[in-house]
Amino acid sequence: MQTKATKIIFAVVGVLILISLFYLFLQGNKKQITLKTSDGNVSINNPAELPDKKSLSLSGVNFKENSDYAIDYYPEDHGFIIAILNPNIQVARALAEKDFVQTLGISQADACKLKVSLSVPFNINETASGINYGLSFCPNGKAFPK
Amino acid sequence: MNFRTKQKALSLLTLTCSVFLPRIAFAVLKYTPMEEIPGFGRPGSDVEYVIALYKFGLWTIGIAAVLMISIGAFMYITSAGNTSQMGKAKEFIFDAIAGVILAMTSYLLLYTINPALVQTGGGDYGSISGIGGGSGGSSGGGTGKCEPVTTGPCSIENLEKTCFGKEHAAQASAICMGESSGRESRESGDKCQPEGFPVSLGLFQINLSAHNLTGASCTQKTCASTAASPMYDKDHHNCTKGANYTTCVTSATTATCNIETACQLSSNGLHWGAWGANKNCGFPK
Repeated sequence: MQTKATKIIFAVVGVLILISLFYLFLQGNKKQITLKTSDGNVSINNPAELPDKKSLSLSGVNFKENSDYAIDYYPEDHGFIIAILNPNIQVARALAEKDFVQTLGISQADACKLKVSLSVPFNINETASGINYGLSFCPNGKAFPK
Repeated sequence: MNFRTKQKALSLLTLTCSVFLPRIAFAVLKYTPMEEIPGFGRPGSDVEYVIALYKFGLWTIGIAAVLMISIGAFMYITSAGNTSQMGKAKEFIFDAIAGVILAMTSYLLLYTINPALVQTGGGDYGSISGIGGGSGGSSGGGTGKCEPVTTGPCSIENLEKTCFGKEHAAQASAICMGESSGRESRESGDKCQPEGFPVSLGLFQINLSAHNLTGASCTQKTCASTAASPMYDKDHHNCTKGANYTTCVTSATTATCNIETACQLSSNGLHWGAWGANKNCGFPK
């Protein structure tokens, strides 16, 4: 009787451990993640696993920030924000775009499939602010005003 | 048609209606779900609603299974050799385990098809994107130089859930885009001289020398003149750090606190005259 009871308790504990392992397996830290986009899947280096990342709200991460630009990622809708922070916006944009594809380990073609907002804050450049320029090498990329 | 066939047909019709009628209602009438799903808030679209319902079901199954296994184990231990009670206890446990396995299998299947289907939050539903719709829309009343943020806390979808509501979310998103590019940790170029520390911070670039922070999520609310003084404005750049500067910066760079403060300062999105980025937008002052 006691042996059977022990077996049952072991079974219960076993199931709970299995559920926990299953959960950990699904939530586990991945160096690479695949984003499903309307243009197909894109595998990127997981921004949440990059060095120097900072946590943001909505499970977002800031994984690049310097005096020229900053890049954030929001996993909820797989969206990226690139903010240009240097008044020399042309140069900063080129640097940001190059770093973006390199850090995520993707090609320019794959980068164009992602949801990326590239913009300039008002106090960096009044005339260029307020617009999502996208990535310059993508078909939907816009040039900064002259 | 005999009774059984009629019954089957009726069941099939009920099932079909329960699946498709809400969808038609959502699509045609643009119905906004009124009822919250416990733990998942009020989903914005029918797709999100169904997914939230599914996730709620998963949690319910998990909790119920643990409870039933515990009850079964207790019954088994206390059965004292009573075979009928032992049998009942076993049934409890095996049914619960079967339920969990079934739920896990369905989860795994959906995860394999598209991980976004079982992830928390909105998500890009990829292959089923045609169903959901989405808010989209323009920033409204702008000059074409005033686009909304497409992701993160200042996206229209997120701001619709705040005090800006559906009516003013697009304008708020566009102002946020102009001010900070939608970045919650944004420090401005407005810097107090001669020390050179930033005085306007966060999504809506709240000037800490001029405004207190408002909202339940703001851990530090008293900031005007205690974070920096005298007040920084376009003509006066000399100011010194106050005792509350660090805590005010932490609060102002917290997305919810910044949004709630912007809400109060703009009268829930009715007046945008205090923001420099409104020069490009031309929203009501």
